[in-house]
Amino acid sequence: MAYQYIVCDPDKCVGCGLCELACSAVKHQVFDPLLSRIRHVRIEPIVMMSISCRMCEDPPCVIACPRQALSQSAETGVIIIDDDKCDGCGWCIQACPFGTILLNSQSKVVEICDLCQDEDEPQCVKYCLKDALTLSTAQVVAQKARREVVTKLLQEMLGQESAIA
Amino acid sequence: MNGYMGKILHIDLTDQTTRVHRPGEDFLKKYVGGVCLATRLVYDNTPKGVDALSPENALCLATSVFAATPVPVGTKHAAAAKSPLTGFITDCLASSYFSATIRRAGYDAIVVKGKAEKPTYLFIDDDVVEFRDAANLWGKETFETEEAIRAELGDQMVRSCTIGPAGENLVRFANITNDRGRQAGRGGLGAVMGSKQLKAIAIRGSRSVEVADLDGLCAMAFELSEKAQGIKTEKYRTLGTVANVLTLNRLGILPTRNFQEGVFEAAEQVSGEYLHQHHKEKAVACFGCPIACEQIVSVKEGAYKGARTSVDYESLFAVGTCCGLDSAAGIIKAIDTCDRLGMDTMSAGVVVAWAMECFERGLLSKKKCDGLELRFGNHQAEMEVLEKIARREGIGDLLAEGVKRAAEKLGEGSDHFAMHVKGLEFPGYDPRGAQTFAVGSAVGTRGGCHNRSLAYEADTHGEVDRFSADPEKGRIACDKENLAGIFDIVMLCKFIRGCLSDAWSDVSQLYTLTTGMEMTADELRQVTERSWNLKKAFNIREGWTKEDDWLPPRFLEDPIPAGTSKGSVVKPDDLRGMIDAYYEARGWTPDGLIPKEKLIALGLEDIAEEVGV
Amino acid sequence: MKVTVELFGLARRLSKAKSVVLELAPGATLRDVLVMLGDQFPALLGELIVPGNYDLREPYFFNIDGRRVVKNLDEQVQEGEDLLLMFVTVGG
Repeated sequence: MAYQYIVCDPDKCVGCGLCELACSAVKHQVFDPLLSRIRHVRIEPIVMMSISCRMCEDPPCVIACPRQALSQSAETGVIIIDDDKCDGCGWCIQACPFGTILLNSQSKVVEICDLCQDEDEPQCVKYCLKDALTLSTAQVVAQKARREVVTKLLQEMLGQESAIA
Repeated sequence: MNGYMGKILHIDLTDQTTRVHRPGEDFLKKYVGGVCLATRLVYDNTPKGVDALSPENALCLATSVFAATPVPVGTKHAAAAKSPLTGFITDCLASSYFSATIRRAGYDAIVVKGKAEKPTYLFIDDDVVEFRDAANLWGKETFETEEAIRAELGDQMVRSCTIGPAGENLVRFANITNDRGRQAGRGGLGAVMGSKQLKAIAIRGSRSVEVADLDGLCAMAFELSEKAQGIKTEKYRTLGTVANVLTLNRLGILPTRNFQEGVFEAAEQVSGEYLHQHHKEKAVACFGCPIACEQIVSVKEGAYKGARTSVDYESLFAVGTCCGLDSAAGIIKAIDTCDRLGMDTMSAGVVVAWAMECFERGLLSKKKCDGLELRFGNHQAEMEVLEKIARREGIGDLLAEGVKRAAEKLGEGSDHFAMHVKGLEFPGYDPRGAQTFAVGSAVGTRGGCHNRSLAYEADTHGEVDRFSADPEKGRIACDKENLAGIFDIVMLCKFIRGCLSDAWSDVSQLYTLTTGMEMTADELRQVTERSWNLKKAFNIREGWTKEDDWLPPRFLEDPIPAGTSKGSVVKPDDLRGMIDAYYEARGWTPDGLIPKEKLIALGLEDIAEEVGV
Repeated sequence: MKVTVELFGLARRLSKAKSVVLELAPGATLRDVLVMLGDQFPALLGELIVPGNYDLREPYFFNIDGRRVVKNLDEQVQEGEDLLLMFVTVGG
């Protein structure tokens, strides 16, 4: 089964940063972007996007960890952190090209997006009011792009101005 | 503490010292936050009678109660001080990541006094405050400064509020900018910073924010955020506030050519619709905002290629229709210029419009204007004169003083059309065709202001007959001020107002969910009254008299010549009647002074002693 | 009788028209105007005009000739009036 991960559409993202608060709230019962596993990047005035773990194959973080504190669920692709083994060295952080494994500076253990497996749905997706965030797979992301471009190109054949599904 | 951090940071630039004051829950509940808390701090920390550009003027920032929480449109801060433009209180609103960071650094408010020996910027890093050399920053534009600070400190999480060249040169309407496009815009707070040789306040915060009822607050915040995707905010999300150009033009109250007229023949080509179609890139949001009203527009070709900024109605009217500009690209460029140089677009536009009228009437010669053909509609001249103002060069030095002082200096009857109240240049609603706004703008404590007043809403939304000057409008203006006030105190952006079922009870609920403190709707009403009386008390202390609550002669003597509001004017007797009714609604004396008992009843005993009658 | 409806904001965006002249029966009300607009521009129904009872969704309203706002949709319309279908945003 394809791995799901949080996808952010930078055209829809308005830079409100509420996803970060939703995440820290559900995980730590406080509002704190530094305790969020999805992180927002805003480059003024219009580049904005939030990003979290991409569930890589052969995850660089897992490979990098000198204490084998990280492993990956074969079923979901979620990175599993052994809190006892992790000593906060941060080598996985340097290995991750997306900057989405993060050190909790209070517990000194890393944290990463687990798709809110203890909740009904990822909270960042729920609280994104612009539908910029979706829980998706790589296949569906590409599929959406294909449908969008085909719909645009063949509007006449479709016979109407379609809403892009 | 929940919500609040419980700390006020005091900074002295002269001695390079800091001190943390823990005011206690009672104090915080009494002044709540935003403009009320900021005004109290100004009252206490700025001594009576000092020049606004002297080291003694205290610049006070106070966050929203909801800063850095998911309460939609709730992450804001107020900035206040004695205004170099009016000599009275100016209280500004700004928002986004900088506001959140004040709180996350551990503070509810920051007070900055004194004057640095040389160009300085503050770096507040949680508990540590550094006074850093700003020699490399002095002269930089506003956003340029923000970016330079981030590069210097090596952390993108550092947020700053900055001044540009206009603030450095003490332009009386220079502003303070944060997060590129947010401004503490009106009244010259940028000049206050400039007079302190304070180029920027940089902050980094690592604290988590805790609230009393996390689940309850998240649920209510989410519900409100969902409502904010509906029809009540549709205009903000699609066209933005610039949608007002065509509607106000149709009503005949779109200020045109220095308020000479209320209809602009080129309104369509500078309208929100036109900007949306030809220039819009994206609508973006402040931190914590699910509406996203900030319309980023740009110019892709021509003389102003590369100009890029967000455009709101007030900026558009001031540098646009008020200056007779029929070019959307020119308007974008003018606003971008003001934003980069760090000055209030509204004041800048209205001052330039005054200069244009002076030029056309022969009161300012071409020579006096440094060779510029400063006519209405001449966008090149406008761009050049805006730069001159920021640098106080040539004619710019006169205009940098604001329209009131400029007209006083020039004389020749130019005060007739110097469009300001108390020295603050007038906003984009012609009160001749909006009589509730006539009284609302005349009595405003920070000067001619649409945002603190909201009185124009009664006129444009048909709550009243906009042409009638019924004294009842004085009471309405008071009610609108109180309602606007509560948004400015707890701090919520007014754009969410249509999504609240009842502002007072909704706000009261949000307050309790956040802080855990009880706050009834009635207590909130008292807080907003306290805030308005505080502001008024400050003004009285600084020399306000009844004569300061009035409108410029043009509104009283020149009827609107054409359009739907043709023939409308504000009659002095009518204005007097409405203002008198406003004072009565406020519980003030017929001279607009505050009875001691009233101040005591509001818990302002010390102020009652000083300015009560 | 003839009236002109001028469309602003959402109304203009959905209908793609700036204004439209309507032919109405004498005694027609503002609500009848909305019915006709809904017929001519179905896109207005739902988002702007409530289908069924033809209420106007807040915060939109009619301003007659730019001089007075009428919230009561059962008010009768007069020959030659300009009906502005509009909303003014707070702030800016």
